[in-house]
Order: sequence, then structure tokens, then C-alpha cells
Amino acid sequence: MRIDKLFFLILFITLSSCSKEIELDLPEPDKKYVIEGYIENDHYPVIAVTRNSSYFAPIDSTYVMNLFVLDAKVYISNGENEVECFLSTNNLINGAWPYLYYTTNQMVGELDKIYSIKVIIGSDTITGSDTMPSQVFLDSLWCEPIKDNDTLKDLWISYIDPPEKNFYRFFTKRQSRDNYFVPSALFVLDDIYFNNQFFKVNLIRGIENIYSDSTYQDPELGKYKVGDTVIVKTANMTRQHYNFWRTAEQEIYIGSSPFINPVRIRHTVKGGLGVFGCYASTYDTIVIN
Amino acid sequence: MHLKFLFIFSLLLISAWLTAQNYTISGYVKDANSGEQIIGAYVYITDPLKGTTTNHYGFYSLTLPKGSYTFEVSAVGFEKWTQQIILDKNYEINIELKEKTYLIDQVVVTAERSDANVYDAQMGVVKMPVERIKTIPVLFGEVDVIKAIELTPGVLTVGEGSSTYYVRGGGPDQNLILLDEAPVYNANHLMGFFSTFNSDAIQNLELYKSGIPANYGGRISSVLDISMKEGNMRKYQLEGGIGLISSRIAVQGPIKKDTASFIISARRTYADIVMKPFMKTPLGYYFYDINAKANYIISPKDRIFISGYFGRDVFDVKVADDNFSTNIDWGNATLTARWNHLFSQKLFSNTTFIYSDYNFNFGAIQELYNVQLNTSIRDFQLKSDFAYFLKDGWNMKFGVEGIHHTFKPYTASFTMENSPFNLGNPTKLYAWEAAGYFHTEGDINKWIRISAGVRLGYYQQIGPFTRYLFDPITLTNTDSIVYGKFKKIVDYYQLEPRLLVRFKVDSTSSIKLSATRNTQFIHMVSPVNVTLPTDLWIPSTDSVKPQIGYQLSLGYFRNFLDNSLELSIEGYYKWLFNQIDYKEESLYENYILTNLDNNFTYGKGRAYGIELFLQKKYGTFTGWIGYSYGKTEREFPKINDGKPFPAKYDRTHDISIVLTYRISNAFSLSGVWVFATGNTATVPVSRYFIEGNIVTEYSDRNAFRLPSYHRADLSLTWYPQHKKKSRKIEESWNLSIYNVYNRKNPYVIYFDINGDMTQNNMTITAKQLSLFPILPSITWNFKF
Repeated sequence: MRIDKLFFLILFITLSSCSKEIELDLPEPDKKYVIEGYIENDHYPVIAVTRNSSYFAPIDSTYVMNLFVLDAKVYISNGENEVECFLSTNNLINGAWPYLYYTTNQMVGELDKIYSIKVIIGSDTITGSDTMPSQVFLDSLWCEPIKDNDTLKDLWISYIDPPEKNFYRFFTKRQSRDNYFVPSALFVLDDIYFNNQFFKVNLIRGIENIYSDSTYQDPELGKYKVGDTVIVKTANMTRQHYNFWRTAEQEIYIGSSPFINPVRIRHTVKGGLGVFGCYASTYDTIVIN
Repeated sequence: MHLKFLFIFSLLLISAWLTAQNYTISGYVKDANSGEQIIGAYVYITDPLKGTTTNHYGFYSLTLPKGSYTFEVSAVGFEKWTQQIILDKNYEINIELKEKTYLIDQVVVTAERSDANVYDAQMGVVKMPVERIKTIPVLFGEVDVIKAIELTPGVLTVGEGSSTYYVRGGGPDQNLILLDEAPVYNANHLMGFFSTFNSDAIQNLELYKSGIPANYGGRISSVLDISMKEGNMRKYQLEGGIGLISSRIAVQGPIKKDTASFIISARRTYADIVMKPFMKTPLGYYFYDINAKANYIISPKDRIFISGYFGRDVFDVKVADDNFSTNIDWGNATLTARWNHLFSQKLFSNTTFIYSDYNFNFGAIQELYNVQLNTSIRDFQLKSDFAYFLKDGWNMKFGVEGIHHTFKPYTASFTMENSPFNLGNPTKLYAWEAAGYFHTEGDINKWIRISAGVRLGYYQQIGPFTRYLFDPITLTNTDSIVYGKFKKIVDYYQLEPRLLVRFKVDSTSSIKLSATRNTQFIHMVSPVNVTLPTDLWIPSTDSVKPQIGYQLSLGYFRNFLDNSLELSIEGYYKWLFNQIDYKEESLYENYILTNLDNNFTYGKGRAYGIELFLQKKYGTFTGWIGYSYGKTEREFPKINDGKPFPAKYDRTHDISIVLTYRISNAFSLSGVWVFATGNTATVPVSRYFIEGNIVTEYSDRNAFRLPSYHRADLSLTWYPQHKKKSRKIEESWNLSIYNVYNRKNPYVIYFDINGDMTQNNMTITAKQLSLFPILPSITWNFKF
């Protein structure tokens, strides 16, 4: 047997059947409530209240719907008025996340105001608070061609980062194709890299769900199709709001790697898990060509 | 001040010993075959039993009252040397020991067995000649000295087949690894599956787990002192081995017979070359290393040695379709130049210059993106060590040293289509260390032997340096202090007493006690759970304090069957202070544009355990059984909500059985069985949804245990017996089978998520990844 054949044989043995399913005897988790809430300038608040569940519980549609808490009392305050929110089912129609959320049509986000929420579920009370920062406006957005591809383009944006501390999230929505603004993956950004400087970045199109086969089969993954009209939302945040999304995104994308210590998510609410934060947003539209 | 006191104390001690009518026998112990020095040979008189061991250069010196003695010298693997000596003057005797020619029916001479296990004050020590390591079954056909010490109690590894080891609950950076006195900062090739030490180039190794003598300093858990071979003084030799994924070759011989010699050894893996024709994207990984050493006996009193190591791992991949290319390379380089000088029969000195460098470079380019990262540490060191041999086997060691460190803990750049992200300026940090020590060992009386010493370390961080004053709430720099070149930033003094006491119970058993304080000025921090070439070495600064370790250990040592069976039971308790880790909340962007240490949290640790070691060194059947019970935990204010947690390398039970049976002159069979409590792990305890994605909530740090680890390996070595005496080749074929019963040991557990979240149909299962199934390997070793 030649040495290279022997090597391949050994490599084959090494790589085959290295992985097997095991039973982990994990205790039932403590019951916790999860808040996913935000208020954006000129928009009504969105506050979803869900429960945690055991890690291995199989997921089906009933399971997901059952996670939503429908009997919470949710209040939002802008420092001057406090209003009670109602449960909205609007997202159920188009299947957008969060399927059920609390909102109000008596309050829209305003710049520089401090917002706080109070969520009461039975004997549990969860609170959170955040400040609406200033808006940041893009200078320009444009398309760049992709090598050997006439139908897809890269989308670029540029702007001058203001001197004060800023934290960004970017979202995109393809008109009449996306049901909501999809966050650009791994683009929760601290301006430490480009503070007070001109900054340009290739805005990779976000994915709706990382656990979806259609995401990875999508030939347009990360790119934009010629002819689409795309709205870019640039959201400025406070540090605490940023810290939540930065750590949550890290956990969602790489958290389960066995080689690193798990990310400690920086929850911004007290009495539960999750976030309540303000987005100071600006919107720009481009037709991909 | 302290040094002055020590010096006067030493002089007083010397003069007290010199008053009696004593004579000295001194010299070198050599291998009769190669003329190379033998380290750790036992030199003694039989009645009364008194002795010493040869030092790292094969030198011994024994001062005794006038009289007639039976003088004996023995070393593992050599025939005993005996001579009657009437000691009425000083003698200089260079002794040559003959290699033991192995015969299966030979009656083993019991007197050659050493009782050092019971007699010496040193405890917590593992000494292994490389020849013994070569009989142990191996992974991928590659003999590995680090893997061999991992089979002894109190030394453990976390990853399958990893060369990163942990000693008595200490972290990997708390092990000082010396190759011919030069520190080796990263002893791993190929993510740890191979160590950086080529067994062909190595003569001897000693591992100290407790009671570390005062001549060693700089790490708080252990010292692994590896000596390279010197090169045959009498004849040229070519040796090597051809294995499945790597080969090695070594050439040695005299430059001038019995005066100067050299050895050069090299090895390289060749999976990249073998697989190149078969793969579209070539497997661009290989490593190589080169060891070289030369020595020259200038006069009977002077000898110089120059030795060096250079090794690199290279990973180079280009994927043309994706316009992606990456190049990663890392490795160590060391250089040691030594001068041995004999001031008298009793005063031996060694002056050493050392250079050591470790660096890691990473680069990746994909279309618009370009990432570059590198880290390094570089040392220059000068030291002078003296050994003074007194009456009745008492000896003293003293010396001084100075080290200059240059750290490049982290330099990174990221550009997107030529537009750079500001990741901070490349930073170099500088520090120097000085130390002085005194250590003595000898018999107080018939029952008590002590080994005691003290080491005084001084450390200074020097400029250029910019200290950013950091607000931990806003995570911004509020101010900065700029230090100029050579300007002192901070300094530390550390006093390290070391004490070992042996109480003799009877001629075959003893009780030993040791208490030590060790300190460490340089540290390694790692954001991940496994040792990677990216691990950063950083200096002590005004906020990073020197690590301190205290260890108490107590042991019972007993030899059976005329010293052929050695037993030791050792218990220890260890306290660790100023331990360093990243704050759990630290994010990458918090590291840059400020001092890295603004992201650290400082804590403490403790470890305790008991170790049992039963060893048989001589005869047709040799080997050992090791068992250890241990517990080790850490506590940091900014990790695990400030609660103590088990260290990654907390290991309750650890068993190793290593047996070698010499079936005949032509065959030798070896087996290894290891068992270890599973590694600790942090596991998911619940999950919830954010933006429709699964977010996991985890248990406390390391609160869970993976299934236990166990494995058996076997190896058969065939030494072909050539009938024609004229054929000068000595060869052996080693067939090793790793993991004989194909145990699927957990390397890591991970969670497999199946289904489609958008279709509301998903399941999560826990899976265990095992690295090596049953894995045979064959290696041909030759020597001529």
C-alpha cells in the first residue's frame, strides 16, 4: 500500500463517525419573561412580551405562539405622560416578527426624550428606560457591480460620523418584497472605528432568520437585485441599547461555538430578560441599477 | 540589601564547612559510547550512604572526610560503575558509563537501583529520560515528550491529543517551559496535536510540580526543564524516522574528537505535499522545526555550548473561486549560548545568554476585505549560575539574572476596499526583570534532609508607554499619561522562599514536606477556552499585578522490592492570587484605542488534590500507575456574577497506567490506559426569541460536566536483530494503535439545530464531537 493511500485511509477513519447524539440531562429552567421593545422617532412603540422555554423543546407554530404573553399590562412613558398599550395582531397577517406586540397610538417617539416602560404580568414587574439620541443622516448610497454577475449588486452607504458618541444599526427593506425592515447582519456598530470621520461601508443585506433553509438557498444572499427599490434605515442608539444588540447578535450568530465562553447578553430591562431602547432613525431610498 | 545579606550568609556557611579535614572527588559523568554528559546520574558512597547527582552539564562534586570508600555511579539505562577509593587527597575523576546492553535473561543487579525517590528532599518532580518516553504508544507515530508527562499524576490536558498541559490546577501560562534554559512561549504545533519538541534532539526532561528550586523563577505552577542532546563526541551518527505524516532526521558527531561536537535535527510534516495532487484547494498546512547544538571543551575548566531552536507552523490557503486567501504562521525561535567554568573542584559556574522569540501572524483577504493581525513576545536574558559543593553532599546554588521583554500583545488592521477601520496604533510594551537566588540542600542529620532557598525578583515596566485613564462606565478614555523611552512606569519586588524537608522513616520510606511562594511577572490572557497561537502574552503593569502562588505539599515516599518499585503519595493545597482574565462583558471594541488591561478582571484561585504514583523503572516489565484527585476553582468579580466557578481544567479523577513489557531482545510491547473525569462546560439552560432568532441562556460558568474520558493505546516495537555484525544500522519499527477500543471521547459538545424556523418546525439536539477514533500508525526509526 502506498503511503498516500494509507494516509487517505487514516484520514477517512478520522473524519467518519466523529459525531454522535448525546442526552444531556438539563434541569427545567427558571421561568423568565423576555421583553423586545423599542420606540422610534415619529413611530409608535413596539413592545413584545414572551417567555423563555426549555432549551430542547421542539419548535412548531403552536409552541412559538404560546411563548407570547397576551395578558400583560404594558405602560410607556415619555417623562410627561404615561399611556397603557394594547395588544396588536397586525403582524400576524404578514407573518412579521414579533407576531404579537403591545403598542399605543397615543405616543410617537421624539428626539432627545427619555422613554420608560413598565410591564406587569401577574406578580412580576419588568421595567426599562432609554433616551432617544440624535439622528444621523447618510451622505450617499450607491450600487457597485459584482464580478461576473449582471443581476445582483452590492449596496454601499457613506456618511460623516458626528463628533459625539454614536452607535448604529442598519436595516433594509426591499419594497413589496420584505414585510419589515431586516437588520443588516453583523452591522451593530460602535463609531470607535471611525469617530468624526468619513465612513463608507458595504451594507450586506440582512437575513430574516438564520435558522431558515430559504435563507441559505437564496441566490441573492447578502446582495441586492437589479430593479428592486430598497429603503435603508439608519438607526442611532445609546450605548446601553447598542450593548444589548451587539451581545445578542454575537450570541445569535456565534454563541454556540464550544470553544469560546458564551457571550453574556447585556439586558437593558430590570426584572426580566431583553431590551427596551430608542432608535433615532433616518430613511433613504435607492433603486438598484 | 537582601542580596548582600545572602552573600554574607553564604560565606559564613562555606567557612564553617571548610574547617574539617576533607577531600573532594569531582568530575564529569559521560556516556562511554558518545562522550556526551549524563544528567542526573547518581554519584554516591555506599557506607555511609551519601551522594549527589550530576548537574545539567554532567558535573559532580563530593566532599568527604579522609577515609576509604566504595564509590559508585549509576544512571538509568547505564551499567553501574564501582571503585574503591582511599580518599587522602583530592581527586578529579571523569567517569564513563557503559550503556546497558539489553539481554532478556540477564539477572538484574539490584544494587544499581537508586533510592533517590525516598532519599532526596525534592518532591513533586518527574524526571524522564527520552529513551523511556520512546517506548510509550504515540499518536500519528510521533514521539512526544509533553504527551508523556501528561501521563503522570497532577499533569493533565483538556483537549484530546493536546500539548497544552495544566499542573495541579494552574493555568497554561503558569508553566515555565525551558529548552536549554530558553523559555518557550508556545509549545504547540498544529493546534496542540504535536508539541514543539522533537524527541530526537532531546536528552532529558525534568518537571517540577511543587517545591520548585530557587534557581527557577518566573512562573507559579511548574517548571519543565528540557535539555537538548549535545552531539556525539566520538563518532558520526545519522538517525531519524519516517512516519505517516511527518519525518525527522538528525545528524551528530564530533567536530574534534572528545573536544567538540554538534547535533542538528529537523522534522517536517508533509500532509500538504502528499495531498496536493488530490485536492482542488490544497491543504496548505505544514510545520517544521530545527534544533541545533554545538559544544566545545576549551580546557578542562572551560566549555562552551551554543544551541538553538527554530520552528514554524504555516497555514496557507487560496480559494480562487471565492477570491479568498489566508496566511497564518506562528512559531518560536530560541538561542542559548553557555559558558561552563570550573573555578575549583567545588565551584562550578555557568553563564548563559538567551534569546527567545514567539510570534503569530494572521492575514486574510477576500475581495474588498483585508484583515491583518499579529502578536509577539521577545526576550533577551543574561544569567550566571554557580554551584558550590560542600562537605557530606551539601551543596549550594546561587546566581543572578536579568531579562528584557518586548511584548507586542496585539496589532490588528482591517480595511474594506482600502478604507481603513481605526483599530488603534500598533503598541509595543517593554519590561525588564532581575533576580538573585540562593539555594542549599543537604542532610541535617541521619533523618532530616532539607532543600531550602530564597529568590528575590525585581520587575520594572518601562516606556515608551501611554497609560489611558479609563472610565469603566462610559468605556472611554478620560485622560492619558505618556511615558518616554526607558522611563519607569511601575516596579515590583517579590521575595520567594522555597523550603523542602525530608524526614526519613526508615531505609525504604520517608515523609516530605514543601512550602513555596512563587511569583510571575508576565501573563497570558485568552478570550477562548482552548489554547491558540493567538494567545497574548502581556506584562505586569500598574493595573496588572504580578501573579502570586503559594503551595503547601506533603508526601509519603516508599520504595519496595529493593528499590525496584517506587511509591509516592502527595497531597497539595495551592492558593493563587492576582489571576487575570477578560471581563465577561468586554467587547472587542472596548480593547482598542485604550490599554488592553482596562478590559481585564483580577481574581483568585485555589486548587487542592492528592496524587498517587507507583513506578517500576527496572526489569523486563516497567511502567507506572498514576492517580490524582483534584479540585480547582477561580473567582473573578467580573465573571460568573462574582461567584466562584470550577476552572476549565478542574478534573476530579485522573488515572494513567503505562506499562512496557520487553518480550525479547527483538520485541517490546507497551500499553497505556487513561481515564479522566469529563471536562467542565458551560451549557444552555433555556432559550428565548429575539427578532425571531433563537437566543440561548447559559448555565453558570463551567457548571456542567462532559462524559468521562478514557482510552487505551498499544504499541509494538520491533528491533530487527541483524545477523551480520558488520551491518551498522540500528533500526526499529513502531506500530502504535491509538484508542484501541475506539472509544468516542467527547472533544466538545455542540447543539445541532435542524429544521426551518420560518416554517415553525425546528428541533435541537445535543451532539458530541470526538476527534480520534482507533488510529493506527507506523514509524520506522533508524540510526547508523
